[in-house]
Amino acid sequence: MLLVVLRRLRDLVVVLAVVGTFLFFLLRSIPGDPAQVLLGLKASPEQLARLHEELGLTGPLYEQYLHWVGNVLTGDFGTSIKYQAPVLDMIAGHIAPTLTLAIASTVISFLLTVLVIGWVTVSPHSWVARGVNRVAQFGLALPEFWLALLAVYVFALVLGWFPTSGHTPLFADPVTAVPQLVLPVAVLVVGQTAFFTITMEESVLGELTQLYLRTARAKGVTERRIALRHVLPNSMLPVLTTIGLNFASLIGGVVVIESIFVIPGLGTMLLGAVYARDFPLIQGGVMFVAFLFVVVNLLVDLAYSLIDPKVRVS
Amino acid sequence: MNLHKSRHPKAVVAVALLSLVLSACASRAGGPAASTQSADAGPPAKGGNITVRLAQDPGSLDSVVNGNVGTTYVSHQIFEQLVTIDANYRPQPVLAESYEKSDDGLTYTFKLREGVRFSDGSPLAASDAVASLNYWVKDGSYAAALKPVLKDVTAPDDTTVVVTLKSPFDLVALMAASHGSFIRRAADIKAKGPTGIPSDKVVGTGPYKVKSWTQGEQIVLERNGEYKPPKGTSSGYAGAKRAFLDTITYKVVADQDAVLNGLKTGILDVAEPSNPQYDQIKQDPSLAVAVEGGGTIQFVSLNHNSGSIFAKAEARDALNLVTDKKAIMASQGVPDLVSPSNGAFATSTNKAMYSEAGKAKWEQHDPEQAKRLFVQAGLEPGQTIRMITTDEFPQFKDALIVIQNDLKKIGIKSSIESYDFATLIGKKNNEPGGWDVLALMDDANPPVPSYTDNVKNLDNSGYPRDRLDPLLDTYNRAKTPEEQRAAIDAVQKFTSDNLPTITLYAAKNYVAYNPKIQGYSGWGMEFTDVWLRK
Repeated sequence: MLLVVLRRLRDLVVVLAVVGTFLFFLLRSIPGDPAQVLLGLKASPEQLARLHEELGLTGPLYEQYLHWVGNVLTGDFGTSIKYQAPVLDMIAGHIAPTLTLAIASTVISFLLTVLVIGWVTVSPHSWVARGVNRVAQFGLALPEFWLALLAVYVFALVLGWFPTSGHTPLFADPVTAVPQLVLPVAVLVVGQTAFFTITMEESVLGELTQLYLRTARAKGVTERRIALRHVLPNSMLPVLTTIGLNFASLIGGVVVIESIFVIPGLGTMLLGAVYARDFPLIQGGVMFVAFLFVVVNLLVDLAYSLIDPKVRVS
Repeated sequence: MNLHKSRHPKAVVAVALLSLVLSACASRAGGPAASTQSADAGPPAKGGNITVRLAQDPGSLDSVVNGNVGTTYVSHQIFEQLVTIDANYRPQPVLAESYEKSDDGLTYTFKLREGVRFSDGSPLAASDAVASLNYWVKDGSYAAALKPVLKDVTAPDDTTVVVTLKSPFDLVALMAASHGSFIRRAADIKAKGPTGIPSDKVVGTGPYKVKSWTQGEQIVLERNGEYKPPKGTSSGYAGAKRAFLDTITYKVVADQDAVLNGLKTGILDVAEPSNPQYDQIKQDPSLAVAVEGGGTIQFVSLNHNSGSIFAKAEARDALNLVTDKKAIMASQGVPDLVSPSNGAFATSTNKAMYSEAGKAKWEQHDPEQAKRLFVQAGLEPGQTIRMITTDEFPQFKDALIVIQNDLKKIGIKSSIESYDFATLIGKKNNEPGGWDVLALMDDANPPVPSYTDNVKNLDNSGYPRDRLDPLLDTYNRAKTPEEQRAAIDAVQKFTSDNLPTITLYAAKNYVAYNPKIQGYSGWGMEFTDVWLRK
């Protein structure tokens, strides 16, 4: 187990180095000058030159790169050009809203998926079992932005049940925060639940063909017990991978939801950084997302070993 | 010496949003939805909060180096200038008690008001004004026109600031119109970082001060107990302001649908929604609308660098002749928000700067003559006119599509490429021969009489300055309003004759707000003198 963790940590370093280096050179090769964006079209050449100097955007590219690497190795990811705040502080300030959305929607989606698939496994001939796949396909096909706009129109503007937008830190003021979270989380849950359900249903169908189930039935184990004790847990492994990857992608990828519901999360921060060509903030933000991807994958692998003894032995 | 008082109106609003966003300073035509200002609103009363939408977090409140429109909006509640513009674009003293101009036009003396304090309690000193003006001239974009003629800025005593020039220059008008000329503590200017004065050094003498700033989310202002208003009736940015509201919350909302929904449900109290939302908002009884008379000038900038056909005057004349400006105005879809234009570099609301000297040529529309002129200019058969713009403002592309159709009718190919703002600037600056026409907008009330994006010493898409500069110098040396008027007409005629840019139309801005807000004058996004209906 320790070896697995150490290997993953090694991989993490490699991934971050590759992502950071790639981004560094990519950002400096695309059109767009952060100094020009900041100062506007009317900035004089002298002003631009001075700001380039102050931002450390002068000198050979390799020197800038080595300077950046040196800083990163000491834990300094630089200062946001636009906000003049440390990149890590900026990430810390924007991660909570995104994590709240990601955790809430993932947990609810997972529970709903287990509930639905549990029902389908126990009652394979019920109306739920017959319709689940089609409904899930439909849910997966709904564009997130469209669903979000529809939800705002129906539940906020027409019915007035929830606010149209807004964000309040969950633990600072739960009474205000929870109603604000309902619509964005619900929109995310629709797509995620559909995705998890399809994945888990496939896994369950595969599991149902396993020979050990015949043995269990021969021993007189009830269908309900077979479903809940054997099929569902063994079907969980591929779903775990899906959930892990999906969770990690939510961290940097809920820009549309954050935008529609005015949530100042990591995706919004990164989008603004791209428009402003805020190089340090883009690099730091994307490296953070890459870091989370690797860590979540590691956690999924560790969860595998907890769920499946065969993985632990191997 | 003669006491110099508001010799001529001058309009200005510094550039906004990465130098392109709608500028807020403009007079509103008519009252702000007068029907919403109910008679039973009662007298002005202190208290409450309004939530105002910002399209993006400005990043810094240093308007010297940051042209973001959010910086302008918020800064005007926090900072004051020595002189500023009133609702008629006339310079008026604010932190200055008075100002004088020497007879030779080379020395300006500002006497500071006594008893003025910054929001931290420290007194305003002449050294603060000297540091602020020097910072503005050194790093401010619009002040670049002043830089070559500035000799020095000194403080002979604690309440006097003297600006000495090498040659005559209309200093007060520029200073009043530029958002960069706010007065800050000298110590804060010393703390300036690469992108301006840090957010924890935002200390001014204005009616409000920063209470909190959650980056990327909101800026909350609270009443400044140290505020000492100037004399005179509140008008535009000038006059005595009253801070009725306890707090003003500027909330970052990028999505236009979220803005509209926020206004309808009371999450937002004030916003500048998009033009396509205008009719819907106008018909909503729960919202009030104020249409601003100033706004912006929409234009196309022509590339004068070699490599572009528009380096030749015949091609510029041809584009002017082929462009159906009325069709472009109609393409904007909201008649209330478009002012008929005649090619002037200021709107007719800005009476001192407005000129009709170039009207006759601008109004010409002759596609066949345009076709002949393009041939004379050397446009090869099959050659493509390359038009670029930013997709952050859909009206730019709408205008280019009309021009593209006009060109197509006379058999000329053209392309339209639309980028994010950063890429557009990169394309414009780094590929001087890689484009022909650039659609943009600018403040409708420029700080100096000049066509768009052509402030002296600044970029003008490669257009040679040798003939324009003497005209601007004549303007700055003018001693009477008549001389200034003649100089403005001369610049406008020069613009029309040579077409460094082609104005398309003047666009109005509009503000939607909650009718509970009383006393809102419609002047940009100014919320002093505003109170909430009980």
